[in-house]
Amino acid sequence: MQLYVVRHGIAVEGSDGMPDGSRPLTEKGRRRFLRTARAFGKLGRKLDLILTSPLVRAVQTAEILAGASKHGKVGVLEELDPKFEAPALRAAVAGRAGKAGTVAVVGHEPQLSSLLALLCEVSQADIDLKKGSIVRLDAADLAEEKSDARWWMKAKGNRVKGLPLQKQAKAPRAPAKAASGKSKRAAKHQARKRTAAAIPPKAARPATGAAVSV
Amino acid sequence: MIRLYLVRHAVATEPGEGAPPDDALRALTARGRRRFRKNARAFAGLGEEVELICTSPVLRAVQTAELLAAAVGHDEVQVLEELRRSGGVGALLEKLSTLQVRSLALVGHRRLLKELAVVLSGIAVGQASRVRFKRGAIARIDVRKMSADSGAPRWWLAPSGKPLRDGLPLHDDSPG
Repeated sequence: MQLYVVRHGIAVEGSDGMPDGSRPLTEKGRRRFLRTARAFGKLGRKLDLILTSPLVRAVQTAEILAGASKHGKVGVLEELDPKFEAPALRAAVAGRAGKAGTVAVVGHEPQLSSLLALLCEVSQADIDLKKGSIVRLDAADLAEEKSDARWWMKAKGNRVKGLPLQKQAKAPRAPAKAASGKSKRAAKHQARKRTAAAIPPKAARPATGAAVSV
Repeated sequence: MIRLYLVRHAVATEPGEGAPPDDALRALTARGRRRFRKNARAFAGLGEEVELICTSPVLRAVQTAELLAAAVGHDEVQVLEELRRSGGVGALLEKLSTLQVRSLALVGHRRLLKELAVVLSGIAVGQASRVRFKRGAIARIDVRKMSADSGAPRWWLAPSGKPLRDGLPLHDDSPG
């Protein structure tokens, strides 16, 4: 099964009288995620099932994703509400996914990185899942076995291998910017270098996907 | 003049069998999505300009608002707590009068939309009970300001994608 883990886009800040669950995406959040969703749509994969948290910003993100990609059902999964713990979410996703071959889940931090950590058996502290990003995992058995992180993407639409990981604290931002002007390959190369630099030698290595052979 | 588009959310899973018990977790059904997308496209085809889309924060309304936004190519959707099912017309009108827009779509729930339509257009009590907002219907009302008796219903689009009809969606107007 292919699982796409999607964090909602940028939402408005909370204000008086607005419950957290009612915060909508900002215009920028919508525009950016639309770009990501379109890049995803171009991959041509059909999402058999899109599951969203019931909170407004996630529902909007899920709908934008649905609008830009081929999809089957769009449903809500209560366990994607951030008040639930990752193990409960894992079980719920596995249960709802059933025989679906490709499933997207749209939700929140820190729950999603907790889920990714659980599924890929890495430390949650190493994961840096930005708003509006999409992570692809391959899972033989979502409920029981370790999943294999394949790639992730943001608004620029280029896919980066493995999980979205924390940059090292002092890593300069410049290389990432410079890479955007270069060829796809160069950007990829940069990204790989960054990813590699962020991984402690052994512990998180399987998360890159390359070393997994289950 | 402000153009108001009242939009009732599309068909969602019913409470009870097979559906989540919590009202906030009721999502649009596949059929509800399909039909509303069609209706939203028909709406977009009219070329009506919508400056702002506002929705109730309830899931099925947010989904409907997003389908509408996609159809008209809109990139702003606001959430209004006042559009909740439990909301009152007074509070909603008060909120709406603070918005500086010339055209506005409101995505919400049956009772409140109906009450809003009745209050704005100041129609007779006998008529009011005939107003029937089907799920996924879109009705246009032109108002001078956001207060009672200041508007005139123009037309409405049935969720089935039938052509425009004049006035408000009334009971007798919808055979079958």
